[in-house]
Amino acid sequence: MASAPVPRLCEVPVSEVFQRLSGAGLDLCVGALNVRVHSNVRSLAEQVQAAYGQFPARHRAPWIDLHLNVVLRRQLHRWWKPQVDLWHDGRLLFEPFPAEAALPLLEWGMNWLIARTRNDLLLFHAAVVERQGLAMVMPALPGSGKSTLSAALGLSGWRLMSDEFGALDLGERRFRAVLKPAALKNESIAVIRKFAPEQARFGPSFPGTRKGTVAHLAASAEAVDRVHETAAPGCVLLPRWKAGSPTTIEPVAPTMTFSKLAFNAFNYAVTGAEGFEAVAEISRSAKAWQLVYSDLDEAIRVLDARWHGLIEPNGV
Amino acid sequence: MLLDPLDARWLAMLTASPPADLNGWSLEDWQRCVRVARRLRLLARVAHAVKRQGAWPMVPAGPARQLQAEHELSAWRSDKLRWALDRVGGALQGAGCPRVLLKGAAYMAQGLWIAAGRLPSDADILVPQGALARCQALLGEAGWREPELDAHDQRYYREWSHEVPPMHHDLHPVELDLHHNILPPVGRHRVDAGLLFARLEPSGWPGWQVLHPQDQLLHSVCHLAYDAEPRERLRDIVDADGLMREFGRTRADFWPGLVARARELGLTEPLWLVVTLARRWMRTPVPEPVLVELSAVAPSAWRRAWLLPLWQRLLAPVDPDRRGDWRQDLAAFVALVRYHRNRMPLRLLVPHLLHKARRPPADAPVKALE
Amino acid sequence: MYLRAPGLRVLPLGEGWVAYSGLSRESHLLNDESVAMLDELDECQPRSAREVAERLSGPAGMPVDELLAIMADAWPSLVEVGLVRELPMAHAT
Repeated sequence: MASAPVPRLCEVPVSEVFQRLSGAGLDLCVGALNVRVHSNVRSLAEQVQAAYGQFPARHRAPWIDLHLNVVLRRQLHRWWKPQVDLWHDGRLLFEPFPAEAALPLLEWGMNWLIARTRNDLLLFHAAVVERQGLAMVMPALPGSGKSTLSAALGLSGWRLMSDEFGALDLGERRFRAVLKPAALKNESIAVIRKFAPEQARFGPSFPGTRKGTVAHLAASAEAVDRVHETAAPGCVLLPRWKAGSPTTIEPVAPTMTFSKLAFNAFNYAVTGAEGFEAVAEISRSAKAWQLVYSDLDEAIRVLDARWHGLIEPNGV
Repeated sequence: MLLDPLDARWLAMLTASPPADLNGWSLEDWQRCVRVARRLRLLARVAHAVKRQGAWPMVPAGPARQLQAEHELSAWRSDKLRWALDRVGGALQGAGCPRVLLKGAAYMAQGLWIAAGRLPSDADILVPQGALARCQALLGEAGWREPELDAHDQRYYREWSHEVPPMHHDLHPVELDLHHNILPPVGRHRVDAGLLFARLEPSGWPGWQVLHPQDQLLHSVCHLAYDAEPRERLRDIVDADGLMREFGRTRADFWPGLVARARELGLTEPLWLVVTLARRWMRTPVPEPVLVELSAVAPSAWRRAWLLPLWQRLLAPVDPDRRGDWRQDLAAFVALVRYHRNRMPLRLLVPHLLHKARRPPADAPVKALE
Repeated sequence: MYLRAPGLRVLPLGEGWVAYSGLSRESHLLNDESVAMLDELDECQPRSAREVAERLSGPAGMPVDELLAIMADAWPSLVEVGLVRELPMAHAT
């Protein structure tokens, strides 16, 4: 390990970030994989600096899993609105985005490719937070508010491993981080800003996407520094945000846990018998709860209490 | 910028005997291999070749996870294909006609070495034209549905093409392509399907047959030569090489009469093209007498001068750090025009191309998901 | 005549069951009745619907014909998702 402190992206001038992007590429190690980003779009340098602020600024990964290139489209007419394209290994992905929305394009492209190219892992569509070496897995279901909840947990002493992917190594049966900026939408942005005004660092807001306004919450320094630490399955949480509701938490039947994990995963089908056995094991042995809430602080207090109840009997 | 397949160490590794020594491969070599092979849909075959050679421990962790990922994907897609055809076979039991597996499914049913590491998305089967309507009805009862087509496309398929519009089933992720011939009846090249049906052979899957090995190779070459999107289809050369190596070794009736059969089916030029490219890029062993016969039916020197470079350009992989290659795009356009010219006369081609141009192509960039 | 699909895995999970078919590569949640039917099948030795009904009649506490009628709907589903293989009848029952 280097003796000098490694500068983070938020600590170097944005010109250096752009120099990397437009030159040899900017390497990001998100845990289970390494991504190299190239780009000739200046605004992306600022956006990446904000959304990936705590990531090392000068990392050079020996192995790259995803090579991405965000490129300004050549316009026929100068007065047409500038657009950007995302390229992966010489292949164009998606239709063009407005040039000022380069970061959302990069993020969605990364997620799309991770889901398709890492079939060596079982990828749940879930947020994962870790505490004391155990993972709490929150399957992404409509109306769950899992992004808001996991963001708040990540700002409350829990370590965020991923906002989007529950990446289970089938051999070791442990979760690996896929740590990226959490994409929060609409009201969630304000909720989290209010929840942790000092700590919460956001990238720019992007209005007018298909899901409304999107902003990316940067991962904390601790989450970034511990990105290689894996976690054993601890518990499964099915959150449901309901306006005005008191916080309630109820156990969930193992078959329900199985459904919510397996049938909501990105690549469960591809993992075959191994994936089946892994999900059955988690459903059988891990505690699983349905949490209904409207107040974030109260929900976290309830989860803290449940967590202690979970940990003590295990003697951890 | 186009890459020369001869520079791809991993390509040679697929058929290397004795097995290649992977200890000498740097991470940079692996990086190139993974990026290019994945794009060419050959990465799972690389994974299989590595496993077959017992060389997995020599692969560093980074590339290993990519190889493993593609290996899993290929296994899943292959199993889903086999399962779909199992159900299709059951549905067609009452059809009372021969049922023939084509391409990947045929290779799988025969347990050929090129069956491993495939990424099938379609199930291609062949039935006699007379039984087509009966088969469509039986498949419909079993839940296979044809897409909603407008009148023009319906006419195209019914009158001009050699296949029924692709069928889909709620429970199966593969598309079912039901053929009654391997080339359309309208167009400059006619192939009498009866010639193919006369030489069917049993496969390893009960109820299903396969084409004679010579016809399997010829189908493979004509499929490449007349496909709408031949760009970077190096894997078809790998398949042809695999067929020639395996059948050349296991079947005494493979090489003799192959060129004559190609002449009978009107496929001498595609055969010459594929054999030439396979020998160049994969060092396919072809017996001297066959090469002599092929040179007798080879295209003229003038024609060769533009045809061969055109196809080399079409099939060669594009540098993954570049964004496309204009020469390949141009070659693809020429091939596309030729493809359609072969499928229907010019007077019908123009309205058809105009019609196709108005609809979004199937492989257009995917809409970003949210 | 029916056979258990090769590579079938059936696991109890709380009050229910989960099953995986190596044939179709699909996973399904099953109720007790379906699992009981699968239990009575063998991978190599084909059994008819009637045989299965006869074996389950006692434990289910139901007459054979009633059980046959109930199971009739389940067989096609089990076959379609790859948990059970169906063999064509050599002759009518």
